[in-house]
Amino acid sequence: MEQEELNKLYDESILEENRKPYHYQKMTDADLILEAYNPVCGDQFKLFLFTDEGFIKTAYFHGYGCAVSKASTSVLTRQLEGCTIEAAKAKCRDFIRWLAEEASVNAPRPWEPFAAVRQFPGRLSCAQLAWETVVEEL
Amino acid sequence: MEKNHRDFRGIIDNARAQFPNLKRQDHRDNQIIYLDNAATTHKPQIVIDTLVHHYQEQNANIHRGIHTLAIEATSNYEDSRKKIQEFINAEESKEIIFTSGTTAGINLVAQTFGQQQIGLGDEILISVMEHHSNLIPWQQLAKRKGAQLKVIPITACGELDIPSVEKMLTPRVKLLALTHISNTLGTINPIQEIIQKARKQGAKVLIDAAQSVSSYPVDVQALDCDFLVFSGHKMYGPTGIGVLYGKAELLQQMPPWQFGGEMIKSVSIEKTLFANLPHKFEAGTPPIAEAIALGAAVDFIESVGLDNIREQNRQLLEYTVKALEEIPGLIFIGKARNRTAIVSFMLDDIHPHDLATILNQTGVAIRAGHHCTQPLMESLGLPGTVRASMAFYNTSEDIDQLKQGLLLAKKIFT
Repeated sequence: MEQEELNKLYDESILEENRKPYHYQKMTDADLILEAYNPVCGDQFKLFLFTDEGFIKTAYFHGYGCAVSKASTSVLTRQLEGCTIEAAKAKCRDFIRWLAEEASVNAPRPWEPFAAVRQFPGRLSCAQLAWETVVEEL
Repeated sequence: MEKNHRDFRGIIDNARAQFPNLKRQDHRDNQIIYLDNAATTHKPQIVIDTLVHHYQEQNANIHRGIHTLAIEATSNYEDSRKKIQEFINAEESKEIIFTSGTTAGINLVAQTFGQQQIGLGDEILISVMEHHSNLIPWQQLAKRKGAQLKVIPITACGELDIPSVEKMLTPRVKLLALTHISNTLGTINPIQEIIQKARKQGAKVLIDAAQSVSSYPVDVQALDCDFLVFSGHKMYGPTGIGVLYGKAELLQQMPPWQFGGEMIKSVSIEKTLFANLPHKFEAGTPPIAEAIALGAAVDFIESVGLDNIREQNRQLLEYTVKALEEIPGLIFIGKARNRTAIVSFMLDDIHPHDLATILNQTGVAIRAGHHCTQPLMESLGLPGTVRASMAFYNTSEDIDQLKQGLLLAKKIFT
């Protein structure tokens, strides 16, 4: 059994992000609420965004999903803060292409643990779920 | 007793040896432990050989050629129908309609019988444990016709709530569509008793036997159901083939489902005379090789013996429950008193997909998610479960491996 690959996927930073997600709270008074949903596995997260003059000031999220999708949504939530809408969408496009190895993108440090997902093709959609929602719906 | 035990083990071991795919390894050289049999079973050599034999030595279309190959193919295709007739004890072979699978069988009934017989204010009764394939066709029919779709709830342990069945089976119910065995919980429903209750109220009954024909004797005459559907690929046969059983009298009254070749007596530009049963419902060239190989799957099941298969499933279930119960934090979803070798469970707050990934890494194939039973999941307040579904060829070592994988997952997540 190759536990090494597993250890990379479930490395300390992904598990920690899953255990203690960033801004994990329902904020129904947010300016923008996006819903990320994967009908195949039932993972479902809501993103709550507070905006000011075209900038995302603060972001929260809440929902249900596997460790990978929850950790990746948590990282996304943190990274959305301070972005313009356009910059947020561009960042998410970059993450998706970087993860799928479709483009050479300079990956910021918090993305790095998710590279292990590439060894688990069935789980790529877990890591990309919320990021795709931002690209498509924001 | 000792001899009987040896015979039983010998039969099971011998039958297991006939599944080449059980020897498969993954790219990490793990032996693949296949516990996803409720999704589809592996195929014994005889089924694989029958498929190959048809294409290699017999390939021809059926019911229309006068040449040797067509005569042989037609005869094998119709022999397979007879085997299935005997297998489920239908009165006549024309009551056996080949379909592409359980889903197609249910849609056929919904769009012909349902379209004709169900109207405004009528009720269709299903249960909350139905697979989407025995829910959506009725939901859509009810919508088209202004009928009501009523849903039988389950008890806390995952059994059908019988007092509700009694209350809900009113004369307004035109059709009861019920699964024999839940693909998610493993619950075996007391269909004989429920069919009798439905009969008294004048309702017609369709039984989804997709999970049961491979391990439980099904006798459609004793059951007295009106329709019964199943798939080939969940009973050691090929994909793309399934069966709709219907009482001849009902099938005769129903309009055809699809139109084209094979299902006609005579055709002019203005009108068509449709063929008799069963061909009326088999438009176009059917999956011939698959239908013939389904007959081989029936032969295979009979050679192992349903009693032996059921006994092995019983032992596997007992072993699995005992083994998994020892894992702290593991909760079974569904504990029906009468159930088959399907177990759904949750482990701590680990998401089913994380468990599936970790188990797969150790070579164990299980299913994670809603198992095409979203309303059931909603009624249980769960987004999904992990499901291990056994076939008679699984062993206690397979279950030990499952347990090891679950313990590894626990270690990773603590």
